[in-house]
Amino acid sequence: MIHGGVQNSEGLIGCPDCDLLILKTHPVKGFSLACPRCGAQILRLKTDSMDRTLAFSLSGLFLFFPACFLPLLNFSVLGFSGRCTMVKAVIQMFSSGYWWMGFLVLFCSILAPFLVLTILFAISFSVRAGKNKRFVVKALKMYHHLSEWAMLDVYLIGILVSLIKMRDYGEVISGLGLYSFIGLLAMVIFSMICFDIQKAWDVMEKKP
Amino acid sequence: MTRNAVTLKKAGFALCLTCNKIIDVKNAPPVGPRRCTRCGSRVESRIASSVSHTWALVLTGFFLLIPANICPITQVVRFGSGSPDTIMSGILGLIRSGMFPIAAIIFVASIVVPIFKLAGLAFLLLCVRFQWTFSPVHCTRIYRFIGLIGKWSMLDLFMIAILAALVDMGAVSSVVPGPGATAFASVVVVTLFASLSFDPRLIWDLEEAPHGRKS
Repeated sequence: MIHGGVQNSEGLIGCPDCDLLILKTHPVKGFSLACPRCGAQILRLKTDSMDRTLAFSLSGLFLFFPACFLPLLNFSVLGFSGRCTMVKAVIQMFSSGYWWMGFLVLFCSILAPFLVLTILFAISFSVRAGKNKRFVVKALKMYHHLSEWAMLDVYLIGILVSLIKMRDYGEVISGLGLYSFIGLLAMVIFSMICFDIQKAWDVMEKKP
Repeated sequence: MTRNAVTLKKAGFALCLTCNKIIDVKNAPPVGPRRCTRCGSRVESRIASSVSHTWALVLTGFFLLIPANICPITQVVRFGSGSPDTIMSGILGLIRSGMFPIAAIIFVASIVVPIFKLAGLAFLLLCVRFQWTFSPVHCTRIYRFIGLIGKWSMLDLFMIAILAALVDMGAVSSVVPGPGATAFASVVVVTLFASLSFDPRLIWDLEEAPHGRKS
């Protein structure tokens, strides 16, 4: 904690939750720096951040299309059968007239995760290559606003609950899409955990 | 100790909430709002009119909860006859058929989470309004928890979308969303924006202000 007058912001960091001015210290690997007043996590060292983000986001993008278009669940009862893909779940909402809900499901389950993966891939690629500074700044800002809207973890619980619920009415079998989806979810989570956004911002400031 | 803490505001700085850069705000910018020198986002010491925006969204959320819970959220058609279900009747139906864990998950995601979020934000806003200095550390924890659980109320909407796509056999058996789903989707969006528009630093400003005086 700092007492007395402060002239310039060199070597200082601010807590976004309680506005405390903190002297910058370098955290030890594996530990994170928390705000001494409110306990917010402020800094955390991440090893090989950009390389790992690049790897995870690229794998995520490969899994994205099978997860979207292959059936997550197959359902059959009395000789009738149905299947559910992520894209069909959205189309069904739009075609039954619930466009607002359809848009929300489209955005949170398909658009936001896809954009998050694409942005993380583009940022980690450009930071490594050291090019396209203006583009990276734009992408980082977009990531900041979008990352909250990617809700694949909630979607997975939704799939599992539907699976258990429909077992009483007929036969439900998980499809190939479900396995791709679980892989996609893992890749989105891993690439977001590995991504060191503060490091990306610092790199952007240093490079002219 | 907390009362003498040096905040960015006291030192004449402001934090860019997009890229966490400390910006010097001692001198007013020549034109327009102050921008971050690193990312170009708008920088303010406190989010402008955070309290009134959050109040507006929280109240909207409370009003939308009424149609979301009264109107049917799904309609299950079986052999030509449909039975509409509200959120609560759906949960009761699950309990009746013995699926307690699922009933509990849906109860928490669609009823507890939205109400907790709205009540929690309303409580924080009241703290700021009436200068209740009720443990700022705990208030900040409540705020972080609200942000953490926010997206889980989407669970019911995802389930409806999945079931509608899965069970689509016309008159034999199908699941169709109901008007309550639109209201509930709006509740989710409004509460997510409400927790984004609240500025937790306002809670800590109460620590600095002496009691009984409006700052």
